[in-house]
Amino acid sequence: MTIDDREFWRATDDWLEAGSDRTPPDAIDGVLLAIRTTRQERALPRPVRPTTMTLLSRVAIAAVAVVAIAFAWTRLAPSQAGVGGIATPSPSPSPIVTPSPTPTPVPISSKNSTPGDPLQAGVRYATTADFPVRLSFVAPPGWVANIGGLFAVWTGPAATGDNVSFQRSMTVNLNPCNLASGTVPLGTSASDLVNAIVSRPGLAPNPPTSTTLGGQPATLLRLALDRTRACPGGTAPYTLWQLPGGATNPMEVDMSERVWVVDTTAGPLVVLAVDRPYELPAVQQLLDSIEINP
Amino acid sequence: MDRDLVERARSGDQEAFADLVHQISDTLFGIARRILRDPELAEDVLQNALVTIWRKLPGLREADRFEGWAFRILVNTCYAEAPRNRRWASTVRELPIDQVDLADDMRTIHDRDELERAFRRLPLDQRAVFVLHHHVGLPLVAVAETLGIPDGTARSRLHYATRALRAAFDEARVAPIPLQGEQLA
Repeated sequence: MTIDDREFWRATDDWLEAGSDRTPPDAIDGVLLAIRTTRQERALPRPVRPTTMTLLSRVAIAAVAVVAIAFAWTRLAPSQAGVGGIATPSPSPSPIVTPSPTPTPVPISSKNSTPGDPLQAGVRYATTADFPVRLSFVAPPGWVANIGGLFAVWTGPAATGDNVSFQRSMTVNLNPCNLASGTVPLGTSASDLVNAIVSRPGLAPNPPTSTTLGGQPATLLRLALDRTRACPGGTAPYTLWQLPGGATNPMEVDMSERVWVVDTTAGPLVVLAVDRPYELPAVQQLLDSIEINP
Repeated sequence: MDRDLVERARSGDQEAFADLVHQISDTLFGIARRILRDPELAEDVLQNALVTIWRKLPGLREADRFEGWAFRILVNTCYAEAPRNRRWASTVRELPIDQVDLADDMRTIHDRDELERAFRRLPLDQRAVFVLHHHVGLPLVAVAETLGIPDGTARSRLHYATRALRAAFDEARVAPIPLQGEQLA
């Protein structure tokens, strides 16, 4: 930290901490008066499963569960190729501990909460109708997940919540350092999106490679910023794209990301992994477990 | 924060909530005042936020997370109320120019004034991240969790805010200091 930095932060602290934080007593009195006549919002009771079932009902439910599991197995059966095109043993649902009799995969239930709902380690989770690409993955220990809406699913350790994300319908910025510059005209295929991303100024050169992810053909991009060219003057974060809901993916100079682009019926799917070194094993474990049903 | 107090308030105990209000109101007021740069508007926002906190308290799943949850409601109330309030845009800061005797004091006031102007030009979401990080002292990950945004978004908002303040500060350092009695605001 330079002397200028120290002066800046000293001046900023002085300015930020100036003034009194004492709440005017009238304000508190007003609140306490208001709550006397304000009802609290009580949560609705959760639906209770009937506890009395006939033997026939139990057998019927068990049979339906078995059929559902078998159906999910055939629909989401993993391929023999792992991430990066290297042949690896595919994860098999069989050794995964799942709470019986819940059928696998378990839907991701958390929506628009941060960092998301906790996932049970070793359980396979699947996207719901909120996200139009059917995919599933096995949760690493201590991870959470969150469906951001139609356009993204975020998952990661509870501290960050976004190490791996599944995104779609993004617009790519013409100039990632200046969002007012407009967006790149995009076609509807994965290769259109790949071409738009790799041709952005400021990225360190790294050609796309063909690979597979989740049993599907994919293009892998390794994204890192060129230290000498990314956002000169450091006036703005480097933002390659944004989602229709406004979420962005700002990159920093020392950050590296892997991006897989997969063609699906709902348009190109982007699987983004932020490579924070201390979380790499868990990220890789999740990537290896992904199954995509395009 | 007293977990027992939160749980009692959650179950509808108005006295427990009154105790909670006394414990947390100064912190909330300080945050709102810093984000909005207007004590009167901050007072309105604080009142609305506290009533919202009371209404929604039964929905808080973990009493231990009360404080961050309350911060989130407060910041959302700032977002909702600020654009509707004309005072926000028209507030002019008055500086005690006639009490300044020394050049250093003039420099300090000049710095603060430039920082204030720059901060007021920032969007509220950037102000909120800056205040929660630098005034409250929350780590960026906790700021992101409190505001319900990805941590990368919190990081970029902080980056923008800091960059703007730093630019204003650097500019203030090369600009001549206004003379006593000169209009600053």
